[in-house]
Amino acid sequence: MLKLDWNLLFTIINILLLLILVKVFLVKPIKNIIAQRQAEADEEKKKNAEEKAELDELKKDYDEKLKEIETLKYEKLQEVRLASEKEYNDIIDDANKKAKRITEDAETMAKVERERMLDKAQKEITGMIIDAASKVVASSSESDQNQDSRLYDRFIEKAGDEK
Amino acid sequence: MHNLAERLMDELNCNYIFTIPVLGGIGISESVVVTWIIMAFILLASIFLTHNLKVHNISKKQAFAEFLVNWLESLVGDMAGEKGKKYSLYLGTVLVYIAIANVIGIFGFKAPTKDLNVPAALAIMSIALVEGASIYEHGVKKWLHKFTEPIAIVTPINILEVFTRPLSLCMRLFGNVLGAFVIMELLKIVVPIGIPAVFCLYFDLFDGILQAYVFVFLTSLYIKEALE
Repeated sequence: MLKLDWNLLFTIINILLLLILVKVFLVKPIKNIIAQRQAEADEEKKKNAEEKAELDELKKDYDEKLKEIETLKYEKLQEVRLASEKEYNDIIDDANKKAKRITEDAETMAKVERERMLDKAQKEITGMIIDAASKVVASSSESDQNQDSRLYDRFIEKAGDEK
Repeated sequence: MHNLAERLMDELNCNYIFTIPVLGGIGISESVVVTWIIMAFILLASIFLTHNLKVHNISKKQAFAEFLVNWLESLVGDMAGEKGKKYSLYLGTVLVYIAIANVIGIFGFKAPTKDLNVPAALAIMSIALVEGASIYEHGVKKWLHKFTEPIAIVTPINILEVFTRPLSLCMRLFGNVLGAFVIMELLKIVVPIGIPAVFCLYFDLFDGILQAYVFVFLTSLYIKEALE
């Protein structure tokens, strides 16, 4: 029971042999298969990454195109806006001019009317004065009559001048 | 009573099964033959488990085999630390071997660990692996220098440890198996029915596997310490 002999050496050899057996027949095949699976998974991952890169590239292209379109759109809009602004300004200018002309016309017409009115009033006033003067003349003496006649003439003259 | 002692001694003695007729006859003991049987069993189980392996659509058998290998590797690998992972093959194999060797008594074989040669061989291999790993990791100079750490005065104790560690490993395993066997035999004589079955669960199955675990756990601890 308590003795050490050659069997110790045999046991060591046995254990070493067992190590080799376990390695060759159990661990190695299992490790191999797991490594294969890992390799496949890695391959898959790599493929996925590549596909993703491709997609990213496409997306970038798409984004760039979208940006281009945006710029183009903005430019076009700007153009249209400028054109419309110009047109608007033209229309406003036109309207202003028309309004000015109408105002001027109105002013001229008012002026003419005023002159006409003034003329008319003057004529009336002249008539009234003549009336009054002739009444005065009719009621005065002979001596005075000459003087009055002179006065009258002068008045007429002046009134005519003013006219 | 005398009869019992005789029978116990007979059970405890590892007889030579046959003798190789060289150097005046080398006896091959029962433990070595049972070890062969265990090896054959492990080999056949390995071949069975790794038969027809596939990358995809694996069978339950293959899933179990993969689980077993990974589980054993992570179990002993965790104990031995990051650097000690490369020794997980030895640790895992020894764990399985000792576990089977301790339990094989149930199947009517004489447990190999009951022969002092087997625990001694395992302990010698373990300490050789520990020191070898240390030399491999640090080089001879650093390995020798480690004996004087942490202070020079502990050098004799450190040197002594090279011998006490395998001795304790060997004796712990041997003593536990022997003790469990003796208690079981006595129990069978005192209460032949019922009770032994319950205690058999503890002494033969639980203690057997526990001792295998303890042996490997301590070895991996030594390896971890040696690699630091």
